[in-house]
Amino acid sequence: MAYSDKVIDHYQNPKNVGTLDKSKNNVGTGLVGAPECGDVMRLQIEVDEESGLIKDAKFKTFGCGSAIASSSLATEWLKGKTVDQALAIDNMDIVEELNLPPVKIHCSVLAEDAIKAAINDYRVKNGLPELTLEQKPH
Amino acid sequence: MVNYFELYALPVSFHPHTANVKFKFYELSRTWHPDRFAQADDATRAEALRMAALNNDAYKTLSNPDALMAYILRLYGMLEEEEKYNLPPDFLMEMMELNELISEYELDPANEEARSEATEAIESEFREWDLEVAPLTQRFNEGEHTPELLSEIKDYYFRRKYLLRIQERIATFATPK
Repeated sequence: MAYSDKVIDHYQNPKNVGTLDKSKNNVGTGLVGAPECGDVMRLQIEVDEESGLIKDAKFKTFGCGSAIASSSLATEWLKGKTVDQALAIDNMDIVEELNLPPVKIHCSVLAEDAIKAAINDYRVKNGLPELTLEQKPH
Repeated sequence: MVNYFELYALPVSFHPHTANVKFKFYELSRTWHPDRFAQADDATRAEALRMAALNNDAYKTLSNPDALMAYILRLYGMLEEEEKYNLPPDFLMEMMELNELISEYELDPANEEARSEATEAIESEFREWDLEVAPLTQRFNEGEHTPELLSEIKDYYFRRKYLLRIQERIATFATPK
């Protein structure tokens, strides 16, 4: 199966690989896994407390090219958004942007799950109720 | 449709007797061999082909422990296609750390220390898995076919996927010693 140029670009030059200080109150960490293929993904957001905007996002993914590209793209999209806007990122937006084939859609679902898990971690740390998330099949 | 254990007249078990599995495979391979049906009508020939294919699938599954674990879980309705199964965060964290350790080895495959640290870590995970699963599968093999027990086994089934994935990853860059 051939990867799209965008996937290859994100895979070869992943954006925002790294770690944020998870002990900080304005940092939300999402750790998710894809049980069928054994991929693991960690995605973190840092929220600017003044403006409420996500000022930084980092990820670390162990998985296939599409999983790495999906999380790399997700961190790019997260920066500059409010937490509510971030919540609206849909896996199908990632599929479309990266031209993911149907067998790789679960990689984009994993990235969406990671975003939501990071937001939930941030919410819980800041005394907001945890959101119940709709379960999409991988 | 008969299941593989019924086809081979074996008790449902995570550890079917290897010699019995082979014996049945050869026996059924002879029974349904296409040469024996060369003169038969279309329907009979098609049936023989179907049975030969079923026999091949049964043998492949019964002689591969990972495939067999998935098969038994499915047989008892415990596993869905592409199921999204959540493992606890501490396990995912552990897998993240293990992957990071493997990355250090990947960056410098000639470094003996990185190599032994990474390979020992994954080997110890597999050993631990074996030790923890053995008493569960034994209880099942002895007749305890309860959903409670099967869901415990299912948890280990998914944990193993992560370990296999890491092992596969090592194989992409490591040269056999």
